[in-house]
Amino acid sequence: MSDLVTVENLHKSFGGLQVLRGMSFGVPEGEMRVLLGPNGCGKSTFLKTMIGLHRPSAGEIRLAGERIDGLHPHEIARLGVSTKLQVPSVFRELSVYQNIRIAVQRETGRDARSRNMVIDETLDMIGLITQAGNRAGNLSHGHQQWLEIGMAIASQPRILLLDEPTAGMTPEETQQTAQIVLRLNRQKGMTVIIVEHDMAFVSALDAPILVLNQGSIFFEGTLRQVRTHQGVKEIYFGSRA
Amino acid sequence: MRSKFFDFITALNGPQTVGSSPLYWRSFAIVCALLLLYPIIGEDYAVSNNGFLMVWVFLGLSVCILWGYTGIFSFGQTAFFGLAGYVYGVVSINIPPEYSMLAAVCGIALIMLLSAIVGYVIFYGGISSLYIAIFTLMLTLLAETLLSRTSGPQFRIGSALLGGSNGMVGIPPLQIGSGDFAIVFVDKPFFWLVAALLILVFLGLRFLLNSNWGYLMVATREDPLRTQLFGYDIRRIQLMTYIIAGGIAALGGVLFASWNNFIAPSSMGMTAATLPIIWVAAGGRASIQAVTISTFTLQWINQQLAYGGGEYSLMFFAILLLCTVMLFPQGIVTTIEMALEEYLERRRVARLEKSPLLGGRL
Ligand SMILES: Nc1ncnc2c1ncn2[C@@H]1O[C@H](COP(=O)(O)OP(=O)(O)OP(=O)(O)O)[C@@H](O)[C@H]1O
Ligand SMILES: [Mg+2]
Repeated sequence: MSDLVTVENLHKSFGGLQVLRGMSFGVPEGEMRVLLGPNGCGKSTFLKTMIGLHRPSAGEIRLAGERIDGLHPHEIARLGVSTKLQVPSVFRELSVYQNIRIAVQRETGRDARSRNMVIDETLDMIGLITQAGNRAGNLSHGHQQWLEIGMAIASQPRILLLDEPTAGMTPEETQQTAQIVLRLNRQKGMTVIIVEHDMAFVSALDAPILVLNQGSIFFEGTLRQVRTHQGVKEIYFGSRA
Repeated sequence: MRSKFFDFITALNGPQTVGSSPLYWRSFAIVCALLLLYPIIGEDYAVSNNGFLMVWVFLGLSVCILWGYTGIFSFGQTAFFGLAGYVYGVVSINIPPEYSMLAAVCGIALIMLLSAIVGYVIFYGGISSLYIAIFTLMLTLLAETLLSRTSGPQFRIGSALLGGSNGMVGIPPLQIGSGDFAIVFVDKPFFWLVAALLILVFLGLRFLLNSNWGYLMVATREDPLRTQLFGYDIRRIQLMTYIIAGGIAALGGVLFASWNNFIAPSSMGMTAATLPIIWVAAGGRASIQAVTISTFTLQWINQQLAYGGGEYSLMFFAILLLCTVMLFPQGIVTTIEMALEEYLERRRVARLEKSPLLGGRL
């Protein structure tokens, strides 16, 4: 019961399409989980339900014991839940600097000095300091993903949700991203839930894995266990090999 | 003292508005000084007319901060402009002239309240942007239609006759003080009043737009979903902006009725609702400065063309809108401003390169 995130018997349907059918799991504070599953199995739907963009058809999502299903997206965000959605979305017309400013100014308030310090730290962490003045829409795809991750972590959230953060990144960028996420999790104690397909990235994270299939958590274990598990092979790796 | 002043100027600068250099602020001060000096040397009629043209800028700015900065496309600002004029008319006719400022406050306050109600319904009701545009247009046309039906002696509020489609007449001008000490805001004093209010509103908006709040307006325009995921309640941002925009439009409406001594439902017609959109689009919707310049200029052109018949001015505006959309999507004034900024920057760099001290470092 000491889990920070508790998902219990979560259901979500779109019209007649039942996507989540009794999904349950928990994540203790400060830990990381990787959510795997075949295309279209409902990983993004789960994240969107968790952050209030969808209302669950049934079941509960709790944060530190308090129910958050039914809250507005901004209310959930204020509880310290930060998200990078699958489809990259930065403020394209604004500069990189302004993008991060918008992400942090709720925390830093009117004090320009502390705000600028947080912005600079974030830029440093995602390695975009030289691009601070550039229009975000002009960044490469990988850099846009980084900017979005930067915006998600800039406000020091309790929980970080990432939906396929390395899509479109080069292998080096993928490894760098893994380092950033690991640092956040291990040094700052941030709780992280990641949806990812890239196996190099997943193995670099070295975190417990949840396999989603047919709308519920089908298997929980290490990457090695997942790889050798016969049932998982069939539904997941089997379908790709 | 000096640093306080410096902080104040800094708070007026930022990426949301054009111009931040000392050169810009010097030019700004010169323009303000010229505005305040102009009535002394200008002819009564011209001064009064130019003061009247500036009244429209408030309406333009109202549409600008909604559409250009926050991404809310509203046809309803014209209704708020006109209704504020009516409220000012009704109240000021019923009270002694020395209290006409109170009527102005009533007009603005009531319209802000109305904006709050309308805004609450559309933003908290989750109405999509297309329907907001249609709904606010209908509000404007509804106001026009209802007020057109008010001819006859039964439609009177105190001693103010609403007057149906002929409009309300005999609205007193704004005034402070009474008897020998009264300043009545007609002709030159009217120009001073409008110019002072315009400078105040303009600087106030620069402050707002470059504050945290201004960033949230722009974020809401760019990506409402993303903005919510950072923990901001976009409905609140939209509603507050809508109320501020309503207040600015209402200020314009009050000044309009006070200058004209008259207000009619046609001030809320289809043409009247469309023009502000064109001023804003043609000038550059994401810049209050561009909209200020374009609104004044286009209303001046509108007036010149109107002498030859209304159809020319409509034709002109239709062509202007097309040209803007096709050739200067960011707005004509904004395009000029950007070219000027680039030129100044290039000149600055060239000068730095020539300077013996910095030449090596660049
Ligand atoms: N808003 C929606 N309305 C209707 N159906 C939806 C909606 N969002 C998702 N779906 C459907 O729900 C199912 C799960 O989609 P989801 O995006 O959650 O899958 P996913 O596991 O994230 O897949 P991928 O790995 O491709 O990102 C799909 O069949 C999708 O078509
Ligand atoms: Mg997905």
